[in-house]
Amino acid sequence: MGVKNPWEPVQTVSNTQTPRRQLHVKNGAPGILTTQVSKFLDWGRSSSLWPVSFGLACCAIEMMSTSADRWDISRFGAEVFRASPRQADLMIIAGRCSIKMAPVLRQIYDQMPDPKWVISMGACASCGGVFNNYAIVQGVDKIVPVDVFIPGCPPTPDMLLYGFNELQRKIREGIPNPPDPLKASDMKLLGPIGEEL
Amino acid sequence: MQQQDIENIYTIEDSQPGEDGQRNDTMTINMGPQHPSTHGVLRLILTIEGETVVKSVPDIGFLHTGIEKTAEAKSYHQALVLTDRMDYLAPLCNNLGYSLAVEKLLGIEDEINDKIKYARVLLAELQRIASHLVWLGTHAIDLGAMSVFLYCFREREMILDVFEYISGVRMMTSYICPGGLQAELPPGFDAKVREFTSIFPDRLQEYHDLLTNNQLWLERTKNVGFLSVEDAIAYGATGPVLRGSGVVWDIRKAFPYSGYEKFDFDIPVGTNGDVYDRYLVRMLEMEQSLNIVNQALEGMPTGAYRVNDPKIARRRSGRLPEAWRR
Amino acid sequence: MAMTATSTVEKVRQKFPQAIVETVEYRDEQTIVLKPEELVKVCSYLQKDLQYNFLSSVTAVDWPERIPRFDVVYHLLSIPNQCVLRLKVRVGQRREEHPAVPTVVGVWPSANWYEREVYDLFGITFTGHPDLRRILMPMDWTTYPLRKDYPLTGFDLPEPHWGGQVPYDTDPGVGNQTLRSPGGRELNESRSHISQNQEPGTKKR
Repeated sequence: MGVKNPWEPVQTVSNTQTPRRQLHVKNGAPGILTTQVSKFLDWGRSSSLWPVSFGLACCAIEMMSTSADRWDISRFGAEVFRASPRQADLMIIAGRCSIKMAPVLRQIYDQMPDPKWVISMGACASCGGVFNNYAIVQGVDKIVPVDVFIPGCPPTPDMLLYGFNELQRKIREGIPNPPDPLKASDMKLLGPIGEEL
Repeated sequence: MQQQDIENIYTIEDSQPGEDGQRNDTMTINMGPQHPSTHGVLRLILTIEGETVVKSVPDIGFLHTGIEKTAEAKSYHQALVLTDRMDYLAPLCNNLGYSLAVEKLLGIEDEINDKIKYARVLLAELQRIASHLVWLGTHAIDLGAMSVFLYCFREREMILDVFEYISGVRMMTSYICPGGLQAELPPGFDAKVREFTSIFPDRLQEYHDLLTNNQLWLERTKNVGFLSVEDAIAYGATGPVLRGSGVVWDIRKAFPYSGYEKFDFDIPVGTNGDVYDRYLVRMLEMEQSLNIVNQALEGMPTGAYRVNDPKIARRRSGRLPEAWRR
Repeated sequence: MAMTATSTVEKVRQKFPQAIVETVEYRDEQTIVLKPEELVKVCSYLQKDLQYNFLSSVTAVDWPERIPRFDVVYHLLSIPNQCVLRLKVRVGQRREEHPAVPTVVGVWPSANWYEREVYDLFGITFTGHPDLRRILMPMDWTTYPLRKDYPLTGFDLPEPHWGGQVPYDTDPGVGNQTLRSPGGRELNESRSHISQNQEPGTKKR
């Protein structure tokens, strides 16, 4: 197994055309009442996503601009950026994640209660960005399951808001989270002195 | 590294008698890389006694990007883009430093004409104001004054609009490049900058009114975080930290670059070396930067925006130079 | 009496003629190349008598084809006299894993973290340093990234991994982790093996 042709696309299954939640399934699965409740819950969850502040680098400045007065993110429900991951349900990874920061990122993600979503903001978080080297994780989707990728270096605040809206749409349509990359791979995280987290 | 080594470096023994012979009740706490106040990733292992920090050991490297090694693999123009991301609050200033170094190596310092120098100074000082606005906003919001954060970012948006006007990008413009500027300053540039400079003095006064003599602000920042003159020099502090401690040192005055000798501005210097002095130094620096921006706008000469050498500055349009035509 | 970098070089040459390997002047900047053993003496003289009280930085350069391999570079600034000076020390013999340089922490305390960084990224040890450990890379990192023989993209790490780009002849593994299909799929196989979970309504190829 090796990469035979690097120009072939790596991903050929569409991220947006994923199976939706089945509504009005007749054979004993969710009926009308419970789907209404689910829709209501999804509307509630999408309209009050509280991000945990995980600004790492330059994208964090644009994230701060997004939460400032010109592009107000709290009009979309992200009223407060919670400091503690235990009180947040969205992680906006804004900035380049270095390999020393990777276990911290995963630990903060683990500390968030379900349901949780991840937006990977910027080129460095999505794929390593400008920094194709030993020090930067080439895409945080190697560590946490990412729902929305936002390109840009840094993405302007309106791009972040668009990505945020896409995430809200995704939640309302019932699209599930992607699979957890670490569980699939049995990779273990090491803490700062080499101990296992 | 063993666990005990880490404990020895990072903690103070509890109930170790302090300077006055009393027992200390200290707590070692990790102010981790993810923290709303660290603004980016800084890990501090603090030993605190009540609310006073007794010992603090920083652990850095969480944002080590390998820019140096990446820049080794790139050409001088490609590495310019990487320099934007080093101090991401002031990308144009990093570009300026890098461009000056490359121009010195290339030996084309004399070909950088006055127009380029004035434009660079103007943009660098605007960028300095933008960076200090982020500092003020985040400093204030950490100490609880949330509205100052919103005001500062409102001003910063105006500066970022100027950058977007000239280069198309809000941050990370890479506009100042070795050889000059990336593109000609567009025609409405004057008006756009004057839009900002006309309202900024009042806004700055607003920040002073809100914070400088505010009792709460004084209590939080005066007599906190002393750095004496000897310590500042010995520990290698630079910029507002050094000036806040009382050292009269500004590179723009000591080793003037890019035409700074033609501008008339002061350097604010603090006396005590506490947080309040550093705050005042930066506030006054914003005022001085605005002064420089106004001077640059008034006296902006005409000229080419880039050096005429096609190997350094690739031509946008037009014909190949004579030497390249066969 | 105003002092410039040139007069500094003259004074050092008079006082420590045996310590200087060469002096370079390039684009109006003075550089003194010293022998490693004499480094601390010259630095104390510069700091005490010639008032070079500010150490701007300590870095290193790796010249892989030259012996000695590394250049440790010190940038000094004299705040009272407003002049800058550069010192270089050449270390690193053939097959020497950790070249050693005496530390200047006693002269300028700010050298502490600069020398830790040089140790971390180049592997040059500083004898007498109070706390020589890694500063930028994770604590248990074993190699020295900024050496010229260290690949920019890092080494091949076991799949799936975090850092460094995968060269084209190994399997990236990235696509697996973002696909929705539970089975995952082998990458870059021929198209007939594409998994069942395709877009709804599309034909199986």
